Amino acid sequence: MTNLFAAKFFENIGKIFTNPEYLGNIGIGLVTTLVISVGAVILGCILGTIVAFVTISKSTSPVMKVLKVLCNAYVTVIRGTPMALQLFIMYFVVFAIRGFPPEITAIVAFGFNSGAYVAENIRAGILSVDYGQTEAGRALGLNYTKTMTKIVVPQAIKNVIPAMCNEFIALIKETSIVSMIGMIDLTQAAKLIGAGNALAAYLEPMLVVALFYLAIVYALTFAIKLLERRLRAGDKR
Amino acid sequence: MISVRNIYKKFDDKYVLHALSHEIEKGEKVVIIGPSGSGKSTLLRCINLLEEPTFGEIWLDGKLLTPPDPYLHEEIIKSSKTYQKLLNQAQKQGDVDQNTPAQLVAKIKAEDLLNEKNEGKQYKRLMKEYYNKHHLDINLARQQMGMCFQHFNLFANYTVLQNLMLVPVELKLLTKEQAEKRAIQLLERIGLADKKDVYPIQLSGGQKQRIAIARSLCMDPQIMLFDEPTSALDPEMVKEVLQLMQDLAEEGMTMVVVTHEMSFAKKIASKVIFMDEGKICEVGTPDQIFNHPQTDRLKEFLQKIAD
Ligand SMILES: Nc1ncnc2c1ncn2[C@@H]1O[C@H](COP(=O)(O)OP(=O)(O)O)[C@@H](O)[C@H]1O
Ligand SMILES: [Mg+2]
Repeated sequence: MTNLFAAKFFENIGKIFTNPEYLGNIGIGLVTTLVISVGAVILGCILGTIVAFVTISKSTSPVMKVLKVLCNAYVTVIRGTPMALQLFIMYFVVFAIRGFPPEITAIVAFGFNSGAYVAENIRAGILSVDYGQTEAGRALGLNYTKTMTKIVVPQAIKNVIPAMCNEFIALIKETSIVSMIGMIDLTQAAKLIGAGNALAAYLEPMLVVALFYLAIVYALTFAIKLLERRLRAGDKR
Repeated sequence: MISVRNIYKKFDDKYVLHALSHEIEKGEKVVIIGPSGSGKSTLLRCINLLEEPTFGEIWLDGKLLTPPDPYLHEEIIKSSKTYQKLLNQAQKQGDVDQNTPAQLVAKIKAEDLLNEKNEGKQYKRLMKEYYNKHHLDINLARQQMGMCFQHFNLFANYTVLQNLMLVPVELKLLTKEQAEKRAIQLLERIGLADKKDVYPIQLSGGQKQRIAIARSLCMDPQIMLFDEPTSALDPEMVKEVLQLMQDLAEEGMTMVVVTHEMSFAKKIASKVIFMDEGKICEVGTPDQIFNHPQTDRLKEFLQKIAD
């Protein structure tokens, strides 16, 4: 009985990796997941950085005041509503244009979502750097921007790396809901393969796809660990 | 060299500095003493504008660092709408004589009646003219004023050598080669050249403070401000920092030092300022201040620290 089960299991796995249709599905799914993840991480980081610097700015100019209100509202709304809803709003409302590439819709939706979390991470990271560092820079005659870029931000980056790593991992896994707007990502590919006549089994494709996610997350974690070790070369802690 | 004119500093409705004025000449070694919370740090930080004074002006070598304070300029007060209004009122009531303008100006000053935003064109023009004529960019001013903090604030993400070189190179005051040469000379002078490639976290407090001083000196400042530079140090490290400061003083550096080290004050000060409750309570030579105190507050303070 167990032998039979195991034989079937490995046969199915073999099918997934040999059947061109299945392979195609997984390939498309992998590309979709990666494209959305990378795009959203980039957009999220850019957006998050801008929002973080607006929210920590001490400027009292009217423009900045308005920007601050907008940024705070953005963070509150994004963090207070479900990702799936945000995705639907992007798909059915904001980019409800015939033939609009759904990849872009997804990248924007996930990027906007991630930006709010990234902004909070960066803000916390910058505030975690002793204010004396800023004062020392300013007292020597560096302007605000240079003090930030040369002294505060490099220290903040070290502090935010773990939180950012978590955010990126969460983002990659969260992209698995794009099937809700009809896209084929890794998760949806597994479902399609499982539902196919030739296989009619869900366990194997799901497991295969799970390994793909694990591999992506592991690779990311590894890369970030390397980066972190490099940045921390200076401080013996 | 530094002129502090009628400075007020308010923190949440509480005045920490009150109508404080003082002149510091080139080459002077000013030591500021006073009870904790009397506003010594705030005064020092107002001088290089790490704190922005609520009222008053700070001048460095004849250049204005703060925005102009209208209350210090009679002609600006007289150009304001508030003044015109008060004058009109007085005229209507018919009680104008030659003292009226001075009285109105005094009233406006005393009651802080000016409101930046609606004092009219003339007022704005005068303020702007004054600013343009005398103003010096704060970042330029700070290059000439070194500051040492109680907690050193060495840049944690740079080595000792980089700490010294960073700002002069960033501001293009020196080339990399010049900055490095100069930094090494300074480190040799304080006996820490062997630490040049070490990060601040690996240094003792005394070493950190001496390097912080060297970092300021690398900018070739005109004046050095010290805010309790030895207060965070273990006793055995206080001496090495004070020795370095004394050497600086003997070389003729203009210095303003907030400290509780009274023997050091006696040794190097050309002038001691005793502050209390946000005001300069007494000023004099070390001999006058320590041996012949005039005010009760100073006597009390000296009594306390002698115990
Ligand atoms: N950033 C600040 N916000 C609010 N209050 C402050 C701030 N800095 C200083 N103070 C207050 O101002 C007073 C004077 O402080 P300080 O200048 O540090 O005194 P000192 O250096 O003489 O001990 C204290 O009562 C302190 O609590
Ligand atoms: Mg203090």
